Amino acid sequence: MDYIILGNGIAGIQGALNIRRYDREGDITIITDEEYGFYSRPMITDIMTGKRRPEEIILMGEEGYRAFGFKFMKGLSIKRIDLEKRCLYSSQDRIKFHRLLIATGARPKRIKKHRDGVYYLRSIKDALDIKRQLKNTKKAIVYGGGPVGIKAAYALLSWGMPVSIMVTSPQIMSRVFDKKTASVFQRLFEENGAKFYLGSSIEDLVWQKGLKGVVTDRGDYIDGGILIVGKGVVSHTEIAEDAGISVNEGIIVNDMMETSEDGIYAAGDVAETNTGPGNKGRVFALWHTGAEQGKVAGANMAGEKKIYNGSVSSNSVEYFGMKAISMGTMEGEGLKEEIYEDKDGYRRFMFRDELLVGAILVGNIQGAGILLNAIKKGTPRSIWKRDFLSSHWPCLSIHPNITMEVLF
Amino acid sequence: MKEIHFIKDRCIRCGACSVACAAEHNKNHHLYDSLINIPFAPKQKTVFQVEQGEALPHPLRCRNCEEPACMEACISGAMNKEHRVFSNWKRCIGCFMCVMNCPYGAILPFFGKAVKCDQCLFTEKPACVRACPVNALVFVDSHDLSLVRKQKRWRNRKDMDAPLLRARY
Ligand SMILES: Cc1cc2nc3c(=O)[nH]c(=O)nc-3n(C[C@H](O)[C@H](O)[C@H](O)COP(=O)(O)OP(=O)(O)OC[C@H]3O[C@@H](n4cnc5c(N)ncnc54)[C@H](O)[C@@H]3O)c2cc1C
Ligand code: SF4
Ligand code: SF4
Repeated sequence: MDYIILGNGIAGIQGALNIRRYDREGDITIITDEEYGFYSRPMITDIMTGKRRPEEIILMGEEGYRAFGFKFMKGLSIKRIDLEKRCLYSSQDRIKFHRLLIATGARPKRIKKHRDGVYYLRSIKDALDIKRQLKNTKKAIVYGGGPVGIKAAYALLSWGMPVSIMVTSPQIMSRVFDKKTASVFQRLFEENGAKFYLGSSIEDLVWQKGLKGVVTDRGDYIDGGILIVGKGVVSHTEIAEDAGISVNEGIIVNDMMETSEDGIYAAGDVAETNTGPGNKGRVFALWHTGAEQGKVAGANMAGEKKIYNGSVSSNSVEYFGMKAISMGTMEGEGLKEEIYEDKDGYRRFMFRDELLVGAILVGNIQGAGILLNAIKKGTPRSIWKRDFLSSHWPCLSIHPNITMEVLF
Repeated sequence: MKEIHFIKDRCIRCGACSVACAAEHNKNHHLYDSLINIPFAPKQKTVFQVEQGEALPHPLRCRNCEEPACMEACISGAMNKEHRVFSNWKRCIGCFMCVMNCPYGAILPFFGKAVKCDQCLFTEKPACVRACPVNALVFVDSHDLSLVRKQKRWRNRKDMDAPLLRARY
């Protein structure tokens, strides 16, 4: 059996590892258009500031691929998939496959006014480009208050560069955190040298032999020699779409991560799932959901039967020593909220009827995983004790053999 | 593989397990060094790690999962599995994706690192198990324990024959 993994991100690697788990013989080929082995995409902000070298964030080097018997083809861009002949085409090569995992990830959304000095952050290459530009820059501008934008801003601030952050919505990380949490973080960032322009978008770029600054639609002028854009991502679906695979926002997959075509699977930032409560047409662009999906896809490709139960979108951040985690749904009709607050943390929970559907933990994040699991599984409210929800909860131990009731 | 199991009914909240853990994870394995920093919490089945006078409490009940969610979620490759799941502090960047994903809450975020039970790697029995005066903590195979559990014998502290029931009073 010839397996091809298209994409060398977390989804692709987890796919390959899980194929190997069940199929010791099959040929597994991993294809990427990048020049590096499997690396940690979220850590590229450290490359940008030079805190780490590219080698240091590589999670699987050449010898790792060899150890698992993967054939690794880097620097190879796939242009077309032929479903009839079951072939992949690059500009020169033709690669045959029996089963294919499309894990091509996503690319940053572009802004309309593109000039030199405008950068996006998605790969090591992008990060190195930014690093080069940062050398002759005194001030940076970050456009976008999502997790990626804020992470980039944080990296720059802790490196010592003043940053102006432009956010279209009236708060930062509006998709992830509530107002209160966002303002806590905003204050921390401001104390550390960031300047926020909330509710602003780009009106024009001021460009004179290099980027000089940005004019916002509110009429503010922001000074800065580099603009880093983090306005979300779009899935890399083009080649799948051209091949005739059903595509909406991402490649549509069923609960075995199989696409509309037989033997072709998709996972990660590129896949659109319909599994799990409230996950209609949902594209997750997260590391751990990519891992979950890749794992299921890999097992199914190797002939196992593994069902994907849907993911819960969740984010974990730590900036200036302040930890926060958000998970699940925080807004919507018929949700009841419960807030617990004390000296070492703030916890906000959302319940729909008797089910926990969302949570935000700030400060004390202990046991967040239990809550995430409870949201996934739909554990009824009655088993949660007050102590459990507030930060002082007495027992962290739940054994799969012992039912939860025994311990609570 | 042997695991640490906690039998809730037996626990008398003495906190000996925490103290033992603190001592074990101390440079010279002596309680005195660690006493300064032990945050006693009643019935919190945590173990504590102490280094250079800083207490790093962590709960002991990592399941060393077959497919560890913490490891899959780790973005830096610090969380790893070799028989037991451990986090390599040299690589850990403190993003706490693992804390968010461990379904048992077995990882604690402290001092910017993921801290979890190491089952006292180089000893025969973990320190907490050795310290527990009522055998509320046991270090056995999950399979053996479930047999005893089925027979409900562990409920009876006086049942001397139950393999896990050599309580000292
Ligand atoms: C700066 C930054 C910070 C982040 N922080 C977090 C975080 O804290 N937590 C979190 O959960 N997520 C975070 N993410 C998101 C996370 O990195 C992604 O969700 C994850 O990497 C997606 O993995 P993937 O395998 O689906 O796709 P990708 O990692 O994007 O991999 C896609 C692969 O496909 C290859 N490819 C694409 N098209 C082709 C083609 N035509 N031919 C050949 N190869 C191709 C690419 O080269 C690439 O190797 C962050 C992302 C960024 C950019
Ligand atoms: S830390 Fe949690 S997820 Fe990781 S192996 Fe232990 S119990 Fe499993
Ligand atoms: S906190 Fe450390 S061990 Fe946990 S996911 Fe992050 S890098 Fe990995």
